[in-house]
Amino acid sequence: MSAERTPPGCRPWRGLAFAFVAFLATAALPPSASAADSASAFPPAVSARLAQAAVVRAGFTQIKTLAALRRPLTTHGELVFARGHGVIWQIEAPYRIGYAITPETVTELAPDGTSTVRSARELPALAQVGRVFEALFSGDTGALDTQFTIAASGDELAWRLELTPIAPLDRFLTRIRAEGGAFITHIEVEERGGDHTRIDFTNPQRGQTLSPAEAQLLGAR
Amino acid sequence: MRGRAWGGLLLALAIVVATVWQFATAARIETDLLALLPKTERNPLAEEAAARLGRLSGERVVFLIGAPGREDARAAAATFATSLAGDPLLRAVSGRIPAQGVDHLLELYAPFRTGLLSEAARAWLAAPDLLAAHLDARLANPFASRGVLPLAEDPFGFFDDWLAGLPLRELHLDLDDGWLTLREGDTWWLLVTAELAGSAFDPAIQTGVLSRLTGAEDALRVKRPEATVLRAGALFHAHAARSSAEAEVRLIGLGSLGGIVLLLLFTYRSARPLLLGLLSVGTGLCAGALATRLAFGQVHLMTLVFGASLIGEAIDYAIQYCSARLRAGSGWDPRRGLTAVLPALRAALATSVVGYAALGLTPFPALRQIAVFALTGLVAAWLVVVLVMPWLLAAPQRWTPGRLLALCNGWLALWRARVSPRGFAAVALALLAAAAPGWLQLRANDDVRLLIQSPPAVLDEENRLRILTGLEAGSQFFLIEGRDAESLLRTEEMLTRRLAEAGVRLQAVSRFVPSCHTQQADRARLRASAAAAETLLLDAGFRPEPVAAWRAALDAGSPCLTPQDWLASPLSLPMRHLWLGERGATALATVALPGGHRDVATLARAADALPGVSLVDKPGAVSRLFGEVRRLGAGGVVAATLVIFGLLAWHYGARAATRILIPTVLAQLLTLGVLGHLGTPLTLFHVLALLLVLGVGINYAIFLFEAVRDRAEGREAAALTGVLLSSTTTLLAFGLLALSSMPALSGFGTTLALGIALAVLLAPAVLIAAADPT
Repeated sequence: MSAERTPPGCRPWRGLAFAFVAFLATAALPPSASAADSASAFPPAVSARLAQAAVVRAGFTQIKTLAALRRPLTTHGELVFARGHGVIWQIEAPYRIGYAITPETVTELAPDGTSTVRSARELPALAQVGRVFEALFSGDTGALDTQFTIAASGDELAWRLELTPIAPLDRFLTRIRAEGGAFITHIEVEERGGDHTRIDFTNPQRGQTLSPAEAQLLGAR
Repeated sequence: MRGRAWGGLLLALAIVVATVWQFATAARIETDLLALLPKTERNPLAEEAAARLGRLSGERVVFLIGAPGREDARAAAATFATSLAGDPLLRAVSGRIPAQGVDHLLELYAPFRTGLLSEAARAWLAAPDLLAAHLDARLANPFASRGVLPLAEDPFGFFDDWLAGLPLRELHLDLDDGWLTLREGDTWWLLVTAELAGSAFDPAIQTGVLSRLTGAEDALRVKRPEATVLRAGALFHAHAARSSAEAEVRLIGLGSLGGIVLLLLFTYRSARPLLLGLLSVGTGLCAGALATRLAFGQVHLMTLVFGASLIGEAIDYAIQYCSARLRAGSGWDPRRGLTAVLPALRAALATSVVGYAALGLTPFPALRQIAVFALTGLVAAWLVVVLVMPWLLAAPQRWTPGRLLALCNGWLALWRARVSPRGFAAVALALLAAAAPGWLQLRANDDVRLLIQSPPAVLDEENRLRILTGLEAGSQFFLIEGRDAESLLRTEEMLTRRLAEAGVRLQAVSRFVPSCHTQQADRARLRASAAAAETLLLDAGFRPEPVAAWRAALDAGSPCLTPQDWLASPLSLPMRHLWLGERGATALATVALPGGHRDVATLARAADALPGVSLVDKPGAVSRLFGEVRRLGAGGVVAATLVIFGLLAWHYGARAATRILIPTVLAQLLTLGVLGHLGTPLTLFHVLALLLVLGVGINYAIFLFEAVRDRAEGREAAALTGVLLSSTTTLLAFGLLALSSMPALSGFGTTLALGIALAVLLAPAVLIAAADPT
């Protein structure tokens, strides 16, 4: 036994601070191409229905209640989800700003129409959002198994999922809830420290194709 | 004579006993391939850093345990890690890692956060519009509103952004409940690592750890047949190299020995020549091993593989002595016989010594070992023949190998009758014309992998693991030297920027600890925008208290984060090899590893004109050295030919010297042609083999020439018998060497076998010279 021996916990191989890595770098994992084989927490009928749509468009209202802010922050906008390609999250009010989130990149869309492409590794938190959305909108939570334990309740008309984060994500997140019927109606995120985000979805439309501009943003041809 | 013989015999026995004792009491056989690489760096610190990085990766073994499904994979990895834990040969086995990294990260960096800015943050601060837009975007983000720190402490997310730039995430691995995990389709792969309790080249570690691993893998296969294990580490290469080298020593050693035994028995039909021949060879091999051990501290396995093939050459002296006894028949007198054969034996030893001494002059530890081994071995074998054989092999040869002699006579008669000098010239020219297109096709290859080549199975498995995980095995790195830590870090930062422009990431201390200069500049930048930032925060709806607290923290300032802070944190543990620390009283040094795409020219350009930065490219340097020595060696072959010509001309006259040289030179040229036609790239080792072809080929020509000059009845045929026997044993040994898995040895063996075969076939050309009335 050498004097330099360090406890196993301090001896991660080559990487550092792996917990941190996990928190910020979940996007580093290429999302599985065949998530369909994993177990999904959704009721099968919901999964099947959600799986039918290649593209979903919906309006959203997001209310963030943050401890550091005097009042809740409300944003409205539109979301386009393209199965297998990613999510476009376009805020329309009170200001225009958008994100196109794909497994590899996050494109920020500025109000003036310019866009900045950054790799998902630079913006891991947003990329993580993309994965949660991908899972919830496609009706398949298999890809979230590594970060959450998932409990489901209800039936295909009114279902509810509760995602409880696994270490090390649980340092920051308390819980994510999603509710819906034919479609997701809202998502709630509770963070440690009391910050809380609620997103309500309105007027979901199923489709099969993206507009050329959307396809370009998501890198789908 | 009797006294000398006794002395010789005792010396031989002493050598054998000493060798057996030396090698039986301790493992002194080296398999570290790095030990074979010459020192290429003028800067001793660069050599030290290269050795240190090599050792670091050498003592680690990495596994990926894969199974379909997360739970199965985790259970499999846990089973595997548990079955390895507790082995005394493994210092640490890590599978599941408790998540404590965030705390360490906060502890180390959070107090200094006002001086830590990412490139993006600097751009936001430079333009108030951008900062406002960034804040809006951050707050409007779906989901995430905080980072590692609560929103109030890091409202703009600068700290998160800086942490995200740490070179931690250049791996494809994700921490899943303590396991480093990655997913490939349906398969979940979990990383398990182990550190060896010693060097990967230590045979005890190799066998012990490998049997433990095999046990663990077998147990896993029984328990979880769906699981797959991928492994990587120097240990597996080292073990493969050792096993194949040991197999080759056995094959070449036993093959040549067996061949010699059969040939000697067949030719002389008596046990004595055989036993004395084996005594000579055995003493030679032991002396070679012993001398190498004394000169270098250990014997490399590659030297032993080569040494095994030396059997074929060391037996030559005994064979020459026996063939002299054979041709003397019943009139054999050992004293006179020795006197008669001694000039040829001396010439033979001298040419070999010239050849191997040339090997010893190259800057390669591997070749120097081979040279010392060969020189000592051949001299010892020669001494046994000269001192001991005349005494123990005094009786005349009774059995005459009539058929063999007849065959040799026939072959010589054929040359005499059919091959006129003009005819030989015509044949030689025709052969050269056929070889010429081959010369034009000759290509050079100086790749370092000539010395180091692992079996494809080991390489494939390791490559697969590296591709899956994104781990890199870097062999090029930068060495940065400076007066103090601050100047080192600033140089590193400059290098990092230059490389980033070329699209190359750099793993360097300064990416974990920016220079104080950078930290102060960033803090100044932040302070300059503090008032505007405060307004922005309040306008965005922040409560006044957190904004005031943020401003107070910024104004309070802090000292700079230093490398000492980083070194004191457990976070630096896996990266400590980057910090070489103090070198002497006034100098510090670090290494920096380029990642991803590595183009040596790009790296060299980035280091250009940066004071204290040098690019260390060990494989490149070794390859360049190979090339240099190859060109030098080619010159050496020509020079040695001229020197030998001078010696022969002084002894036999210029005309005879020319005739003696012709078969060998012709053999060398034809060998080059054949190699060209076969498309075999010419390496340093082919060139060195040509040098030895010169030595050995001339021996044969000298033996024949001496016999012809003597004009004694039956002497030529007997001499040719000797040459044939010698060349057969030599060919057998080097032919077997050509089968070696080490490209260097295989090229060496092929060239020698080809060259010597041609030299022997052409050797009777000297008869034409001798028969010439002039």
